[in-house]
Formats: sequence, C-alpha cells, structure tokens
Amino acid sequence: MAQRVSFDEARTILKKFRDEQTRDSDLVVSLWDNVLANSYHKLGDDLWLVYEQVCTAALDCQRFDLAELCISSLDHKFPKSIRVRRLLGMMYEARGEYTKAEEEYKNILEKDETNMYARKRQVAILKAQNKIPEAISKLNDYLKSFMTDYEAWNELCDLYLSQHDYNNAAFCLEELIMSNPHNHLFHQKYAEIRYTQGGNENMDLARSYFAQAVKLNPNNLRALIGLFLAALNLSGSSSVMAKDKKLNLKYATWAAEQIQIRYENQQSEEQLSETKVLTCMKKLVESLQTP
Amino acid sequence: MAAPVVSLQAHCKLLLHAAKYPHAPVNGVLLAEDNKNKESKVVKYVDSIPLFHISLGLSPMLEMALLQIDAYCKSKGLVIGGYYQANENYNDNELNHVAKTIGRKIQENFHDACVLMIDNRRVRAESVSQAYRIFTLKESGWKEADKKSTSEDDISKEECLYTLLKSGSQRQLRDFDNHLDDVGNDWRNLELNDIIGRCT
Repeated sequence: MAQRVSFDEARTILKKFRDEQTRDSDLVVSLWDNVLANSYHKLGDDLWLVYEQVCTAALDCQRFDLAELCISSLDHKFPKSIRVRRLLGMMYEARGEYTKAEEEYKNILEKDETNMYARKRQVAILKAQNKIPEAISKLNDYLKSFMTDYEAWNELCDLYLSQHDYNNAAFCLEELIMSNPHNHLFHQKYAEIRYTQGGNENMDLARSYFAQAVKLNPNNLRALIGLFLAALNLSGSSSVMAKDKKLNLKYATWAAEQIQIRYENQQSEEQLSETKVLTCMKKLVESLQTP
Repeated sequence: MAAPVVSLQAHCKLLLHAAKYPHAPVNGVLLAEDNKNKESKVVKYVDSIPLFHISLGLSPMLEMALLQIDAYCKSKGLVIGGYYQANENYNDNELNHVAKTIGRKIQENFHDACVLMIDNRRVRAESVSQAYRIFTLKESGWKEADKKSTSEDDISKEECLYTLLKSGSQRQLRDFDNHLDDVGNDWRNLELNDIIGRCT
C-alpha cells in the first residue's frame, strides 16, 4: 500500500501525523521502508523529527533494527542529548526490559529533574506492567509539579475510569475544563462520566455539560446524542418535578431534530433507511410525549 | 448448551477491529439469528458490529449504539446476542467489569448470550488461532465454555483472516466511534462483508 505513495506525499503524511499526534505505526514504518529510506537526504531539517517519529513507530511494530538505526543516527547528530536517551529508554520498555528503562529515566532526571518526559515514561512503565494504582499515584505526584499538562490529566482520567473511580475521573476533567473552558471535548467527556454515574443530580449535570458542548460546537454529534439521552432520561424520571420534565422533553425534542438533520444531510438514502436511525429516535421521543 | 457457532464474517470482522487499533481496547456486539420460534439450541452469530476504541466504560454512546443496532436487527430478523472485547494491555486478557456489565445487559435480552474475550497474545501477524475465549452467564457468574479442538472450519477462518490482514483490510473497517466522527461511516461495513464473502 505504501509503495504507490510519492516522496512528497509520504513527507506530508508524516507531518500530518506529527501535528495531529496520530498513532498509525504500521503505516509510518511502511512509508519509511518503501519511500523515505532511500531519499532521506531530501528531508532537510525534517529528517531529525522523522527519525524520532519512525523510531517510536518502529518500537510499536517491534522493528528493533529500524529503531536502533534511528537512535544511532540521532545520537550521532545530537550527542549526549536527553531527548535521544528517552528514545533509548523507550526501546528498553518495548523489549520489556523495564529495569533498564527505569535506570535510563532515573539518570535523565538526575541530570535534569524538571524533565517531564522522563517522569511520564516512568508512569508508562507502571501502566505497561498493569500496575494501575501505582501508575495513578505516580501520575498524581507528577501533576502536583506540572499541573498544566493536559495530556497528563487526560491520561489520569482514563486510568481512574479503568478502575471505575468516576468521581476522581470527573475531577480530572474539571481541572481540564477550568483551564480550557472553550474546549467542547472536555465538556462532552465530563458529561459522559456524570451520565455513566447515573442518578438525577448527575443526569442533570450531564445534560448541562452536553448542552454547553453543543453551544461551543454545534457539530459535536456525541454531545447532541448525550443531550438527547440525558434530557430524555430526566423527562421520564419519576422523581423529577413536572415543570422540569416538560422542559427536558423540549430539550430532547430539539436535540433529536438536530441529530436528524445531520443524519439526513450526511448519509445516503440506503444507509439511512436500512439502519433505521430516525425511526428508533422518533419512537423514543413519542413514548414520552404520551402522558 | 452447545458452544455458539461464529460465522466467518463475524469472526473476521471482530479480529480486524482488534487489528485496526492494536494500541487501544476495542469492543463490539455479535448479531445472532432470532431463533425465538425455531427449535434450534445452537446460537449462530452471523455478523459482528464493531463499536468503540475510545472510553469503553462510558455509557451514553453505548446506549445510542445499542438502540440503533437493535432497531436495525429487528428489521433483519436478527438480535443482539453477544459481545466481544479486547483489552488495552497485552497481558490483560481477563473478563473485566465493563465486559461483565455489558454482557449482562445483553443477556437480559437474549438468554444464551456469550461474551468473547480476545486473548491478545494469540493474535499474531502470521497466525490467529483460538484467538478468543467464550464465556456464558451461569448462576455463579461468567464461566468459560470448554475449548473445542480445531476443526476444518477453524482452519479456513485462519486462512481467510491471514489474507485480509496481509492486504490491510482492517483499514476499511468502520466502527461506531468512526460513525460518530462522521455519520457517513457505515458500521454495517457492507464492502468488507463482500470482501470476506469472496474469501471462501
């Protein structure tokens, strides 16, 4: 598949992956092997970024030959670089040699105790060994010093979710929302966590946050669906006051219309009718409108 | 109860889903023929619908997915009869809380529902055999069904999957997460079904 790609296309794809932090290691390695390896001198300054990118992709694919090539080229150009030593640490991790990896990161931290990458790799080592509570503890420590690291808060949230600690997972999202109040994805994920916890209070919170996500990005389908389901749940709940039930039914109906518009505009006739999306949603709304 | 029969299409699609996202957990549902009126005691999974590779443990999108797929099933004489999952960590192949919860939900609607837990260590580039363990819900909880010996059917499944993986077919698969990103992405994966059909 990668054989038919030109040099320029390959270069553009790799840059896109770096910008969007896409993890498609198979393709990256394939592009290097088939397209870039023989013309790497044409990459200019990009070469070093590409070596780093190909190295991590190679580790994902257990291509240690390729990873070693990248590391030695980088080492030659940037001797004694901590950034290169981190890649060496990651290679030990990929081989399952966690003690060696841990040593490498400890050495980096002795030279530079503010190196956030080495500290995060230490968390990764624990996660790889399925030592989730320890990973959570270490990541919490890390965040005490680096509290604006969004990636870390997200990772901590996912670690808590894997332990069904929804309250702490929600707390992580609260931190993210506080520092990024305009990011619709954070509002949406927070709402999903509250929805999952269940109960009227959480459902109410979920509905508000889904609504805020929709306000920030009207095209966020997950937020629209969440708004629809949360409002539907509240309007059907026995312990919600009548006036709130009515209000929630209005929200649910509005959200359903928005979802319908998107499906009708973006799906083919066949797909729309075969997958019965609209009928199923209509039924749900109608079931609540009958008093 | 006899072990369920997993069709070539269901088998290949669920493993292609795992292959498309090797670094992430994945899950999906299995569709069975609706045998309410027939006498057959064997569950036959004829298709699998890949669901998520992000945040498997959160409920709203799962609820929407099950609602849509359920409506689709009713129109095709099918029913959501099973669930599959592959965990994120290579060495973590146990039936976890998410699998048990979703499995139980499906079992409430389909008595003989099974949960298929993919064993990451058995999914390799050159061969994928006995790649998942099958669990059914008993009084005492989820219990593994006995492993049956390899049959001819299993060998042809292996060969087909190998061909698909070699040609990178997993990239064509669209799961429910892809669908939520762009509603034009079709979780029925009709083109892939065709390719698998031509494998035999």
